[in-house]
Amino acid sequence: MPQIANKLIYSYGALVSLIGLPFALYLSLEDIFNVYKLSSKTIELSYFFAISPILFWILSIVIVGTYSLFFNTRMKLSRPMRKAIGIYIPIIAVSLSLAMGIFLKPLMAEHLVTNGYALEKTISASAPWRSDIDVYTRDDQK
Amino acid sequence: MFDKQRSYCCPFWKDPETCNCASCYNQREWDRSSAALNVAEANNFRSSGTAIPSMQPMLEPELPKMTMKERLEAQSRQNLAQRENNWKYVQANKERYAAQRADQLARQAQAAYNLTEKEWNKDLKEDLKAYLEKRHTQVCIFTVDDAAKCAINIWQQKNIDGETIGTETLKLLEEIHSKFDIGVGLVAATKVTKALGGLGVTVKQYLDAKGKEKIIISSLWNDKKMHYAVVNGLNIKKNHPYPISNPTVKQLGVLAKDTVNGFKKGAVLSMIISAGINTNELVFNDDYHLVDWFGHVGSDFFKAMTVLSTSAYVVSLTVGLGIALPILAGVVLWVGVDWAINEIWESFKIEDAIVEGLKNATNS
Repeated sequence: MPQIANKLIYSYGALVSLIGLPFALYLSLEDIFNVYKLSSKTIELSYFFAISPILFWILSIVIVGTYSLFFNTRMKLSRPMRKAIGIYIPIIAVSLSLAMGIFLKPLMAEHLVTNGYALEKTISASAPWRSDIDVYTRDDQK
Repeated sequence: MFDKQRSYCCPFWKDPETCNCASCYNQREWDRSSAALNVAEANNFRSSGTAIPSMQPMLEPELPKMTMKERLEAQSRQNLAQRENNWKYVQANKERYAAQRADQLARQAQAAYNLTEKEWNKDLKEDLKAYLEKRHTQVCIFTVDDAAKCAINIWQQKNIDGETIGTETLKLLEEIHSKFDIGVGLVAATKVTKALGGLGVTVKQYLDAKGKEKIIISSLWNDKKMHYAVVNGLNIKKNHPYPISNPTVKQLGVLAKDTVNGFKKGAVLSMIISAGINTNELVFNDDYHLVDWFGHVGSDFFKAMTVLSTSAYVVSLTVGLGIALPILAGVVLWVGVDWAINEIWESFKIEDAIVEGLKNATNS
C-alpha cells in the first residue's frame, strides 16, 4: 500500500513539475514583462520574478530527469552534464536571483513610479520565505 | 524676702505656693535657687572615696516640684523652640531635599523601565497571551507560531469539554509544533557545511559496483586539507563512501530520503497551521461556516501535497541522475517549488474555486 501511495505521489509530482513549473516560470517572467509594458492599470510587484533563474534550474532537472526516466532505464548522464546541472547552474541561478532581487526590483519600482503609478497597498506574505506583494495602481484621470 | 531669718508671707495673705503675685513667684524662684545651691554644696563636700570616709552620708536635697501649670508652660516653650529649630533646619535643607526627591523619582522610573525592557519579551508577553487565551478572548494571529499555539489551545479546550477526537491528535500537534522540520533540516545542512568548510559541500548518493546504495560527503573544490570533521558530536569523513544504513549518516539527516521526510513533515505542519487558523475563524467568526472550513483546509492540504510531491519528485530525479547537489541547494529547491506552487494557486484562485464548489455541492 505505501508503495502505491509513493507511486501516486511521484506521478502527481511529475505531472505538476511538467505542467505547473513551466507555468510558474511564465508567471515570474510575466511580472517583469508587465512592468516593462505598463499595459495594466494595476500591477503587482513582488520578488517572485527573482526566482526565475532557480525555476530554470529546477526545470532543467525535471526535463533532463524525466527524459532519462522515460527513455533510459539507468538514467545515466555524462560527467560534465552532471557537474553542470548539480553545481554550476544552481550556483549561477542563486547568484542571479540575488542580484535580480537586490538590483532589479528597486529599478522596477522606480520605473513604475516615474510612469504615473503609485503604491496602493502591500499584501503580506503567508510564509516567511515568500515575498510581500506591492500593489501599484495608475490614476488615469490625471 | 531676702532675710533668711524671717519666714515669707504673701502681701495679699494668700498661700505662697499657689499665689500668682510677683512677690510669691520671686519667693518660689528664690527657694528653688537656694535648694540648687545646697545641692551643689553637698556634691562638693560629699565622700570622694578617700581613706577617711564620712561617717554620715549626705542626702541629696530634693528640688521643689514645679506646679502643673509651670510644667505645662515649660513643656510648651520647649516644644515651640523645637518646632522653630525643625522649621529652620527644613528651610536650610530645602534644596538638598528637592535634589534627593528628584533622584529618588528618577531611580524609580529607571527601575520600572529596566523591568519592562528586560522582561517584556519573556514573561509579560507570555503571561498576557496565556491570560487572553485562557479566557477565550479573541486572539490575533500574527505569526506561524501564534497559529500553531492557537490550534493547540483550541484542541486543549475541546479536550476539556470532552469533544476531542483523542489525545493522540493533541500530542501530534505539540510534537509537530516543537519541530519546525524545515528549519531543522536547514540547521543540519548549515552545520555540515560549516564543519566541512564552506557552502560548496555536496552529498551524493549512488549505487556501487556491488549494487549497494552508498553516500559520499564531498565538496565542490575537493580540497585535500580537511578529511575529518565533527558535526553535532559525530565524526564524519569527507570523500569516504558510507553505506546509507550507517547510523552516523542517518543521524546527520542529509540523505535524500531524510530530505523528503523533512518535506513531508513540513507539509503536515502546513496542514496543522491551516487547521489552526481556520478553526479560529470557525470559532470566532459568525459568517464562517463548516463548508468554508473544509474548503480552506482542503485547499491548503491539496497545495501542501502538491509541493511535497513536486519537491520529492525533483529530489528523486537528482539522485537518479547521480547529481551531487550542494546540500543547501536542497533547501533552495524546496523554497523555489513552494513559492512557485503558491503563485499558481493565487493566480488561478484555486482556493476560492474549491470553497465555491463545496458551497454549490452542499447548497449552502
